[in-house]
Amino acid sequence: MAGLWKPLVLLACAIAALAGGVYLQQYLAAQRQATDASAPTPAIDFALTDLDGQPQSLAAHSGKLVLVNFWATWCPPCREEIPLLIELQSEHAESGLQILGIALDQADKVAAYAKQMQMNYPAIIAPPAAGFDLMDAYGAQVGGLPFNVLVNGAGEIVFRHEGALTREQFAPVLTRHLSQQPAG
Amino acid sequence: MACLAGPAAAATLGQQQFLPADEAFVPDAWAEGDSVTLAWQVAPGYYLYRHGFGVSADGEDLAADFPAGEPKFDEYFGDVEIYRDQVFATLPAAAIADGDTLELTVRYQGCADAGLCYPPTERTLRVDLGR
Repeated sequence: MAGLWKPLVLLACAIAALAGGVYLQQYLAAQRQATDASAPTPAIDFALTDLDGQPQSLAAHSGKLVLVNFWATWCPPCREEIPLLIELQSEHAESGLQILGIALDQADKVAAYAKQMQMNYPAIIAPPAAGFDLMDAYGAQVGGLPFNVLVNGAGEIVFRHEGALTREQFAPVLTRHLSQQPAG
Repeated sequence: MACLAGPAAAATLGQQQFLPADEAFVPDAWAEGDSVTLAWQVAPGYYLYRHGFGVSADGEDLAADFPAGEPKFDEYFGDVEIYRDQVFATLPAAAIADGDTLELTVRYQGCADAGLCYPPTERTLRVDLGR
């Protein structure tokens, strides 16, 4: 019997090793993907116009920590996070934070909502198709709103988040990246 | 698959994982007698807005009958209705043109409870009318 069991045990070990190897390979691939996703990547610039008719781009805020917030008035979770963004802009403006709200929406609806909320950062209008293309370029996975991207002073994407932000999850990220901003 | 889900989920900064729109909301349509039934399967934790639906064929809007939805209050839109799990609508015979097949364009828009909304989605469905 021992002679029969030995090859079976070896076969089982070989299968386990193969399965483990495949899993490890997939795990490492996923880890590489995670590293790549979280590593800073250059943010392409955009040229859009805000509600005041002023041109807006990333380049215009070079050197600042820029939170690009993609949103729309028809998106309840987008509206829910706007009070938080207004608070963050007030709290961290002097530390170098600039929030840019890119609305994939109609200008009149955005204007009414921005006025109602007393938004203290630029409300930029993007034609939806162009806005979703920009989100895609910034690494959005499912193309839903809201989508937030944090761009450091060197123009690199250092954080991206699909779905509404909460202060609890975003405050540590913001603090860390503001601390890495050059003084000035 | 469970093995694959672990590391991949950890890869995105620990944030909520959302389904692509085509997995969150799956439309279908088929002939039923003289009418056409439209159906959407809605993934758990996701919902569709009643006011977000639209049906058209050859560029003409068609009036489909949707059931009453679950009431929801939205501070911006006011009282709205949503559908979870699945929703069936009927396109009455009077709204359907002659022919063996019907090419429908359906529009819909929904969100995830976890805090994400999808832009209005448009898909084309071909229905064999069995005539």
